[in-house]
Amino acid sequence: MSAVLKLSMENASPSHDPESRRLVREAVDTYEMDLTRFAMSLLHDLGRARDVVQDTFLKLYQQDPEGMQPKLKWWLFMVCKNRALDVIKKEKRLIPAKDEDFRTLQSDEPTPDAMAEAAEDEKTASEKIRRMLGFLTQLPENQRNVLRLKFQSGLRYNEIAEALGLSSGNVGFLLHTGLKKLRALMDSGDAPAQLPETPAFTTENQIL
Amino acid sequence: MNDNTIENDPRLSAWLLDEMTTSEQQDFEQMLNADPTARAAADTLRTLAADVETALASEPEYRLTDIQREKICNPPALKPITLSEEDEKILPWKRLRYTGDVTEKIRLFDRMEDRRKTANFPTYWITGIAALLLGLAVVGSMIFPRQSETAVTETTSKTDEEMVVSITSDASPQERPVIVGSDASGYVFRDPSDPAHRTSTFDLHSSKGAYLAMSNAIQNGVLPKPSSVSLDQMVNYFEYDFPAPKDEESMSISVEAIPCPWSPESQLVQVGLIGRETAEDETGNVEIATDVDVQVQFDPAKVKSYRLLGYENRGTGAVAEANDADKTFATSETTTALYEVVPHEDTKADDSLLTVHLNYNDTDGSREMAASLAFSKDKLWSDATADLRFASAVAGFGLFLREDEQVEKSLSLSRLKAMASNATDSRDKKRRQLFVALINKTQKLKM
Repeated sequence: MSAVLKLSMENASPSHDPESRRLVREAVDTYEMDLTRFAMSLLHDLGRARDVVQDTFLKLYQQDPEGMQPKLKWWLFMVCKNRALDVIKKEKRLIPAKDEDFRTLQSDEPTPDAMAEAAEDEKTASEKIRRMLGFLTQLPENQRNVLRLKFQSGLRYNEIAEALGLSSGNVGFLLHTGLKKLRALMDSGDAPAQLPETPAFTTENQIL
Repeated sequence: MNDNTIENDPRLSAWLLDEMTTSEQQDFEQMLNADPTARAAADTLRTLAADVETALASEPEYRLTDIQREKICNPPALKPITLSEEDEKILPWKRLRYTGDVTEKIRLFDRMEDRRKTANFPTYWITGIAALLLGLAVVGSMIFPRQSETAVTETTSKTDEEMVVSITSDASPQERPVIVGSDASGYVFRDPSDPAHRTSTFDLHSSKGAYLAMSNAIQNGVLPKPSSVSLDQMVNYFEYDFPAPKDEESMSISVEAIPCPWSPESQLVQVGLIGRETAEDETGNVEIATDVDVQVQFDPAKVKSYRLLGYENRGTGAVAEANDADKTFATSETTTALYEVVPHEDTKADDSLLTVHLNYNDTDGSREMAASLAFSKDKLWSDATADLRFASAVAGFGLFLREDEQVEKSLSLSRLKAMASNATDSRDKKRRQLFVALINKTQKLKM
């Protein structure tokens, strides 16, 4: 009995192996921002995006640090994407209909902090960049993800393929198609249907 | 534009991004040299790629919160524990699963004993409840043949035994609050040196009902009835970031303590149960842990007394057993219980105050795990996670609404508001901010 308990405890506690800790710290230093941006592009909600990224890093403790080194980059994006999809699935499942009753009580007004942040974004982002980020959100999800992982995080085709569960050839095709579509949209002179995400525009379906 | 034009050739991107093998590259560059249109297309694409890179680089710099980063880089440790043979004897829960609900009966009986002892508790209430219970017992024994006599505890007298049996076998869930609840005098402190109180347990599930009712009342300008304020429902209304279970585990335990904000000699202990997040396979099914049993075991040598904050309407064994769903734990589900724990004066730092035992079945069979809490004597309020600081504020506010003497003496609403508003940084930030607004509103009502 004592032995059993001891064993299961070791399984239950987070690993304190120094190698694991070093790996996690390095991963946080290097990928925190890119992963949070990626999660944000999937979830459109900063709180949930952070949550998913936190889970992703914590999952790293369960991996063998040595075997992890070569695949760290794509592994993080893969876990992050899967976690984000879980969250989306779960939210759909968990928001009960009766919450409608409380909708009137909720406020979607951005907080003063978020508004200040948005105003700051407004100043710094040039019109072209804003348009491009806006058009990016209009691309099909796979194209958008491939462009982001390539041009924001610098993953190779084969790494993107692993992260998103696609073939390498498919990644090349999606990336090229995405770029072409983006160029056509930029050349059209239209305004994007949607502005790029800023914290001010994220809302939560929460009840009071 | 026809499909064979160079603009539609994915090799153009692959070449630009250095994603070609040497031979592919040589072939492609030969073609480029021979075709000015292809070279122009490559230039356009290069400019576009640079623009995309610039655009993506100027996205807002989303990052984790400092608290999250700290949690990731220094995950809280659970101390390994072993059980002595002595512990084994005192720990009744394994046996109980097979022998019925004896502890529940003892607990209920003790609760009534406490009622009798509580000075402020009007005697006519005792008499009333006792009369009601006796009535139930008589009616119950006439309508329902008694079946659970074998499980009746040896520590109760005949009369009490009848009362208890009538409740466990005849009371419907709707009657729960009437019979064991509405104890507005506060949650009762237990002495763990009494074997009946060596362990404590709490419900796995809490509804949002009481929180919403409380919140609606305050929004409408009325303070809720003290006895209607349920601390467990309030605390569980919010989300907490407990570390997720390991891959092979369906559930895990989190234990953290903080100096109790309303009582300098107490520790406030947060016990969290966490169901594993949805597995990565795409079955989409909810993997459920069943037959979940949690017991918090206190060390009487280190702990003078403790009280569970909430769960005052916890059903008796029979009621709990009647609903199988009560014993299951869904994926991603979490439950939080708060204990106020008073260590002995001579309890030293790092002494183990309590151990949480968790027992459940999943697809791999029966599992058990445990986590113990070491006494962090010098821990500061600011050392605790935002989650625990926030939960403490929620509990403090709940006790305030319940007119808990200790809290009314030592905590002001402005202090509670400060505690809560400094701990809103989380995934349910907005909900937490609304809670701060609720304290604000209460402050105005009190003026």
